[in-house]
Amino acid sequence: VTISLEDAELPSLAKQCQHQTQLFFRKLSHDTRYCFELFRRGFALGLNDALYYIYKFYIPLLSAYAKRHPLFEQSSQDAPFFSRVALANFYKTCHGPRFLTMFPALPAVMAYLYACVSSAVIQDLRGNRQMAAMADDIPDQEPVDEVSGDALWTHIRGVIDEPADEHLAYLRFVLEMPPAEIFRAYPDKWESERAISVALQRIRRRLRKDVMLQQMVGLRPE
Amino acid sequence: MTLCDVQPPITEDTLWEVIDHVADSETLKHVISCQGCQERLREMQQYEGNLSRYLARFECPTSQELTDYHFGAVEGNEREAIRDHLEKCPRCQEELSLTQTFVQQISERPEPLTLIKTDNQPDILRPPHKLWQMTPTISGDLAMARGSDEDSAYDAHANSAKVYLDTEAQMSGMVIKGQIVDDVVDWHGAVAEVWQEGNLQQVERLDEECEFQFTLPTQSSIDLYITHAKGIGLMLERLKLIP
Repeated sequence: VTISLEDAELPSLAKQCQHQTQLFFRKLSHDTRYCFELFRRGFALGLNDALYYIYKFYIPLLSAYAKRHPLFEQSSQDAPFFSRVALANFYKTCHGPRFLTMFPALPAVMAYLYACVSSAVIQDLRGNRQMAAMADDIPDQEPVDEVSGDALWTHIRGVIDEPADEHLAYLRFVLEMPPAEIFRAYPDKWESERAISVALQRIRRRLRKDVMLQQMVGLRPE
Repeated sequence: MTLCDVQPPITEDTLWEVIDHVADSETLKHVISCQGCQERLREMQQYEGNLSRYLARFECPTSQELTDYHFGAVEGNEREAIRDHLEKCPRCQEELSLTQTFVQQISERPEPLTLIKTDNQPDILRPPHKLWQMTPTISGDLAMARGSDEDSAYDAHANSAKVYLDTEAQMSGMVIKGQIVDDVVDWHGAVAEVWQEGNLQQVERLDEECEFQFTLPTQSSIDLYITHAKGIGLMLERLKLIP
């Protein structure tokens, strides 16, 4: 009697998934359908019992991969945290019918999971940079009102009012690229790092004279 | 404004060069020995920091959104918006490229170099600001808010989140019912894991009421992890179960 994978009992399916994964790591012939079925039950059908096995098998594996990420050492979390965030994001994006439209087989599932791990590490670093800026630069006076980045940038564009300077200000203040990095990214646009720095000095002089901007970001007038 | 106390004096523009990492060695020497310049530099760094606080990456998609875009999981206007943003944002291009390289490297060499045992000893060496370690709430009022004033009710809090837990001994085992209440973060769809003695026992997604329920075979203390897709984790460790 042949039992289709869809009818297989969950514990035996999980056992097969684990066994086939070991064969895969030993570079032996293996069958990816068991693990794929496990993912299908967990994410397409939303079965918590299947999610249990996915977490049990894949948190250690994804944690090992997180440690191989080039930015892991600069991050502020442990590897299992990134695995958990990756799996939570996987579920958020790919649960229900979408799972089968996005993933025809296990390799596609795994590629997306690896990408989710990478995204979790990268996002953590973004947050760390912002936290560092906040910790180092306590304002002398509080902003008048809570300002959104969008509103502040719209105001800055009005103060600068010149497309080339606006682009440079975006690279420096929004993307936080120092002149050396800007020059590497746009070697045809400026003559040198120093030319970028000089252009930035001109922009800063205008911005620092703007009273509205001083109020928006909670700085005292010069 | 404080002036230079070392001659010859330097201008504010020259000090911006220090912040932009393009200053020459003479300028750096001057700043090191000039108290007035150090004060001006601090003020200028504060100005840059304030701008950065509001502007840094303010319109960039999250790294997960970039990944979802790359894998075709983003559609319609949102897809177009990310595509347009990617064209002009070297930072996002760089991050997406890093993720693509990472996926390729793992796919080509999937053997885990070291498998990590996920037990109760997290290998955190850095301050974990996104892992909200919960602390018990001392007041009994919150436990009562969930409709229970018995000893088996428990509540804990971290940042904006409060977790209410109830335990009940049943024939099937120890039942733990929980709920997260949070005015800031919507925890619906987050994933809760319960661990006992270093072993994962159950996994469950939080429902629309942000509730979850586990049935455990033993009364050993539990570790509870709840992870949100936004990259926030709640951690409640070594919690004793009272039947």
